[in-house]
Amino acid sequence: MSSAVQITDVTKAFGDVVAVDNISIDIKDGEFFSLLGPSGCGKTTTLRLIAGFEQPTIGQISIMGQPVAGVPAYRRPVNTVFQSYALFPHMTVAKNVAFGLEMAKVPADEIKKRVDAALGLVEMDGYGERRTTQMSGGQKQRVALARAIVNWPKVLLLDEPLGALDLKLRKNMQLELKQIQQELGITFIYVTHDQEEAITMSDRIAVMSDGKVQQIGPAREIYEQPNNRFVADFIGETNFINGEVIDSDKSSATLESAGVKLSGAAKEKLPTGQSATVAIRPEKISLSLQTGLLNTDNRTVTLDGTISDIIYIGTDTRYQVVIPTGDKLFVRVQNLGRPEDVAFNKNDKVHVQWLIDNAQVLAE
Amino acid sequence: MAATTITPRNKIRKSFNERALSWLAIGMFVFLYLPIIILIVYSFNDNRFASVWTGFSTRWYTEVFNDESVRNAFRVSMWVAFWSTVISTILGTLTAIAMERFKFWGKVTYDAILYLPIIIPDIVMALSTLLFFVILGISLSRYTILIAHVAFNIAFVAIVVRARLADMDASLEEAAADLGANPWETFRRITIPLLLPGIIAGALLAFTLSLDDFVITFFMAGPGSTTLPVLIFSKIRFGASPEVNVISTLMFMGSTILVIISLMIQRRT
Repeated sequence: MSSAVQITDVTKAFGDVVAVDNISIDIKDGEFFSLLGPSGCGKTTTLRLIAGFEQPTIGQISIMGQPVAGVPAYRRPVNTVFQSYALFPHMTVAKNVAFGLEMAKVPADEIKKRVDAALGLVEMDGYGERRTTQMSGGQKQRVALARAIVNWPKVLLLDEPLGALDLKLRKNMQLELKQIQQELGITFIYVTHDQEEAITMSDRIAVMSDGKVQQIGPAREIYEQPNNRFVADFIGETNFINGEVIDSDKSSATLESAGVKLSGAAKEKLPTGQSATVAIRPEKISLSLQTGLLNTDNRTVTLDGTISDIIYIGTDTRYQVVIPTGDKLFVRVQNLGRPEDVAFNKNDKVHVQWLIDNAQVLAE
Repeated sequence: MAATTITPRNKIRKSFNERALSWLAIGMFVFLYLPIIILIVYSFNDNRFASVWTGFSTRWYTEVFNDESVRNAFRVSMWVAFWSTVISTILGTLTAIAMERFKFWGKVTYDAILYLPIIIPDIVMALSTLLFFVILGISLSRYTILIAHVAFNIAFVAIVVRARLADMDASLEEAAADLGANPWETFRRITIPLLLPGIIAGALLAFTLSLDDFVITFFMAGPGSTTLPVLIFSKIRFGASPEVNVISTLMFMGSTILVIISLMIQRRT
């Protein structure tokens, strides 16, 4: 598949502040790609660099194979859905949607057809003559989307488009956006700080922090095999146990922490003696009163633990378990039993187990 | 219990305060508007002497409309007001856009200096402008009045337009560019229409200020370039006359209408 947008060694500085720090991202044609990170991580600046509202300080950006250095925003084959919607308040819905086509000198009858089609796609038929100022957030959102896709852009840029909507509407719009993207087959570049949103919608995600790309990959890879502590911590919930590397090959490593040996998968061979962290998701840990719930071959880690806290959250129960290293681990256990069943009680002595492949050893 | 009981004492004190406030407000209005009402009433006075009422008449209105010096002053006033409005509205709007949207060398200083005409006393403005023209050897005419009016009007237009611009979402202009509008199209189809209420309000303000100005105009006025306020002043030196009342009444009406229109435009958007 060819590239829709190629960002190569791009840095953007505003005075002394480096907003985007030497990033390279290759976004494939037709992909739903998310830029995910906390506020101030540089994701919106990256989007603005692609749109042409900012020019990179260093580096190059190509859109559909064409370098766009010096090409102003109004000549780029991309359209943006703004966080604030940015609908023109002095125009009707139809006029808003038609704006891009009018600028492109498309004949009037074709404009009408395409505007109607675009409004239909976002389920806003019949709203053409309305003013945008009296619409709800969700309606404005749809008009903003229609105004962008009506131009058949090669790449659609979306800057936290669902940020201002309430939770339920946001969930519906997530599904709709994904459907529209698949229907039109255009590349979506989606900026969000909501990890759940990024995971449910994206083909691939770039996790950013401090202006740098921390990891690029499919949602599953980012969740299951985080590159570093930031990614593991930002996406979902993770337990961290610090230790020192005592043994490692190119795909796994063993740490020692307070005399306890812990093993996990590693992305590279780690030097012995280096301090590192084992990251393990709460749902990957199993608890049992008897020995060995999982097969006790050498592919598992088994520790003794004591239940120190229990929180019932409906679908699961969250246990806090103290392990011999002194760390407190969170463990999620699905509530499979009958309504009155209680799996563990406080201060129960339990066996704590996980598959080595499910734990990640991350270098500091 | 949720409802609070109002004791009679509370009630009395509250109504006393309210009554005192409304009397104060009425007093203020009387103080502000009674002189103007008297002026308007006496413009219909039949008597030659302005302060003695003898009966209702519109004869001074007829007289004023037939007075060549008044008609000439009116023409000069309108000419100066019109052109100073046009010029200062264009320059003031562009200044506001430059100050709000662009960064340039010396911006902070320029920002401070721009609003000086609003702060410094009229008489100082008038004297300095007069001195300026004298040093350059420019003889006083309606054109010098025009230049002086443009000078102070730019500041007022810029303030009004800039306030509007500051309220405007900057991403609207980015959205236009994103949809393929070049800078000129963006300016014409987005920026100007959205600023229009501010521009119109600024223009009406400029027009009113120009029409009303006395001090600066008095210093700039050359022979044959008398405006209405200057004419009133020269007439009043020979004693208050019903004619002066008529001109003042008409000017008051004109200014009031302009201010009301300006407020309505600003309020509506």
